[in-house]
Amino acid sequence: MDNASAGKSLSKRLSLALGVLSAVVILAASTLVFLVLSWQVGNRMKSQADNTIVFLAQSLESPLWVLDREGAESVARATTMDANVGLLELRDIRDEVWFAHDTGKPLFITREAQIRHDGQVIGFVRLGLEDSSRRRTLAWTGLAAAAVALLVIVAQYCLARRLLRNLLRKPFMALDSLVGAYARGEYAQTDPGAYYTEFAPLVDAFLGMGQTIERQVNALAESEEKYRLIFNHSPVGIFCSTLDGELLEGNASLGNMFGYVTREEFLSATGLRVDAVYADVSQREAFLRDLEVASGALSREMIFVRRDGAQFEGMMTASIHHGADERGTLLNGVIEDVGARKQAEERLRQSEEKFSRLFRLSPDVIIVMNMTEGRIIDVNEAFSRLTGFAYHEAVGKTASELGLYATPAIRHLVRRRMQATGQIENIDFSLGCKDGKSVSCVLSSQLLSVGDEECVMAVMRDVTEFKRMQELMIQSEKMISVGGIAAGVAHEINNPLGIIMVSSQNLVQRTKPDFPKNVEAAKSIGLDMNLFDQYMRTRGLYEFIRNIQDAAVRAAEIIRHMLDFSRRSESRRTVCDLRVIIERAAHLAGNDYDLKKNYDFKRIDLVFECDENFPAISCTETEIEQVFLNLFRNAAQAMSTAQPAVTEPRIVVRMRAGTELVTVEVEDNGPGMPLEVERRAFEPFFTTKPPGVGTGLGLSVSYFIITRSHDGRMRVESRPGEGTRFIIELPNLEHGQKEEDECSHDS
Amino acid sequence: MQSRLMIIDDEEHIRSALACYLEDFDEFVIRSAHSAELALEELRQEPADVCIVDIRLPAMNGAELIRVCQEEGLCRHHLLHTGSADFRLYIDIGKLGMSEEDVFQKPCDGMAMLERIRELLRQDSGANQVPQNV
Repeated sequence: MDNASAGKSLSKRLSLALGVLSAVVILAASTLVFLVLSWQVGNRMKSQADNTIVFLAQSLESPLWVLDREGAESVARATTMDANVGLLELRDIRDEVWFAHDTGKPLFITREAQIRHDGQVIGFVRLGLEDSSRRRTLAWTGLAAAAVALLVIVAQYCLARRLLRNLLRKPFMALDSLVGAYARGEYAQTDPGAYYTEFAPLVDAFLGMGQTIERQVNALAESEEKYRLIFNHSPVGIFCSTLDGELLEGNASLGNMFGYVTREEFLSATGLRVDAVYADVSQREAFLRDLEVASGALSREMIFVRRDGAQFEGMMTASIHHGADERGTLLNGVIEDVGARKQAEERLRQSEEKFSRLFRLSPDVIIVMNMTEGRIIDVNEAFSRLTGFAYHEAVGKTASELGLYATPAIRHLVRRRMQATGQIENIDFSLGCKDGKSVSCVLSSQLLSVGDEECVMAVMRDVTEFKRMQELMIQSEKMISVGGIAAGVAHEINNPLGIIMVSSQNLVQRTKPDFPKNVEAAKSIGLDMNLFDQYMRTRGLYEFIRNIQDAAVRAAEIIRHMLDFSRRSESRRTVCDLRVIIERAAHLAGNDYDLKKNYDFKRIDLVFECDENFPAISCTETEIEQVFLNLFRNAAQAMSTAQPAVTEPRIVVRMRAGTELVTVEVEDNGPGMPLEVERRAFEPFFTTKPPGVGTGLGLSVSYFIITRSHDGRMRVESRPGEGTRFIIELPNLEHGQKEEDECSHDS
Repeated sequence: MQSRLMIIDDEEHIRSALACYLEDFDEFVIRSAHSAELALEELRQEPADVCIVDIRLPAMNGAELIRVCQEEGLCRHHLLHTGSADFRLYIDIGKLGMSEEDVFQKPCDGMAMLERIRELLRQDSGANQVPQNV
């Protein structure tokens, strides 16, 4: 306890208090006794005065009556013998004073009485009793009482002191030793010996308190140890600093984070200042300002500096504590090095973005649906492009609602396979579009978990172009093999054809009736050449021979065309105006004798739709001319044979310039061709013309000229009854040049 | 004096038919051979004015034959008469001192060949004319 204010002893005080108390009590009692005594004395004096006055009145009657002055005086004098009488006055009826006694001292009481004789007033007597004796009596009484009281008080004080010392001090000393032991941290104490039962609860309470404190101290120590472990081994840096930047505490991780091996090294190296670890101290100040207005802890990413000067990103979470002790307001918190995490996050984000882009921008259609209902969750851009359904139109609907299954039967197949094997690989699938058309695709599909929902990811590739290319490739393969065979067999066929040709020429020559050698030979055997000529004519032999010749020429022609397949003619390329070539081909078609026989090409309305900026292209003029001549002849022939006849025959030549390719379309409004013809249009030897009119090689050769000689593309579109359109695409020379220019600039 | 022709072809009927056709005009003395080797043998005994040479021959080919003839001066003019379409891949007719007009693709018109032979021979007879541009 506070010894400074000690000095005042409890026992002294108690003793004093007891003394004062008893003094007050004694005083009160004494006063009461005194008052009673003084009252009793007063009463006694009053009755004495009354008795005396009555005595005087009676004893003085006769002397007064008889006017015996001496007798009266003797009685009066005898009365004044009493020490208490201070005043005695005797007067007769005439008010003559017979006797007077007055001591001059203060009077306590005065009495007057009439002296009667036979009822007649004969004199007056006045008596006064002195107060001094009463006072004396009272004074002595008071003194005696005070003395007694004083004696009692002193005795009591001394007794109380001794008693209290024995009764209180020892138990308190025992308790004091107990508390002292507690103060020293010795909580395991036994009963110090309570002398009195009154102290037993207190001692018990103290002992209980000691046990409680011991328990709590142990628990605290345990808890402290636990938190110390956490503090020491926490992977995040834990710190405590003052607001103005003095570092009070930091754990090992904090030290490691800043490049120190141990916590102590860190604490000593930083000079207990935190400023050095911030790349920008103003960040800390801003953080503190925000913390002061915030209610709780705040987290913020900051750049910190390591011991070696390297910077790293850390996530600081801290709060301000208004401490009760002398250290005042503190900043407590943790710092976590988030560099690695952020890098991981960044990598994850990049990866996410990459895959997201992959998904969005994939040229293949990708649809994500949930497994349970087949409801679309996500689609990519290729989906919208191909089907025509915008993202918001598709998401939330089912594939069936959108009509994506062009053939409903496939839906069951797809679902069954997904449920059975969980995946589908490259099955043919007809994808229904918004405009009602369908696109042929290959479908691959796999199960996918999005969150905790089982989903299906379906990837569809538009194979329309692929299929067409495949057909074209089959076509090309066929023709290339034809070309290869042609080259191989040409020699073998040409030799016999040569024999036929020359032999038939010999036949013609040697049957001529006017040829000198013939005439000579006929004459030598006596043959009439005229008759022979007549015979030849009659039997049509000349005709036969000519037929042999024609057939040989035709066969030779076919071989020559076949050989064209394998020929490339790049060396003869020039930069040409395509329109001029096409116009020349049209002119040639107009003058084609064979064609004229059946149909006048000039009757056909030839329309050019040509882009203004249509560029010059690199080609072999004669070959391209041959291609367009072929197309015009075919168109004209088709329109000439059309049933019903085409009333306004028309050929439209569309020339469009693209960036990489130029496109030329030759479109007629003729009879068109059925699908099976369209498919085989480019096939060598396939012809719909009567034998002898077409070889079936015109379009094949054209195809080869475009695709092999000129690196272009050629295809046909046709609808029976509406017409046919041939589409030729050739590389744009300007584009190629531009690229070359760019290359040369680069290099 | 009749000009001397030599037909070299491994196909007998070509040789005979062509020979028949050309001899009817009474302008040429015509010989024929089925191989280059045999032709060279004949030509060394007596040269020719014009040789009509097939390219594909059993051993030595037509181009080689023409080269030897030119080296040895066995023949002044040569015509190619071939059924193969791709001979240009391995024969440079310019180097053999010939032009496109000297190439006849089988089957060919006998009259055209005759005209070309006549033209070549005419060039020879006009000795002061500039030789054919090769």
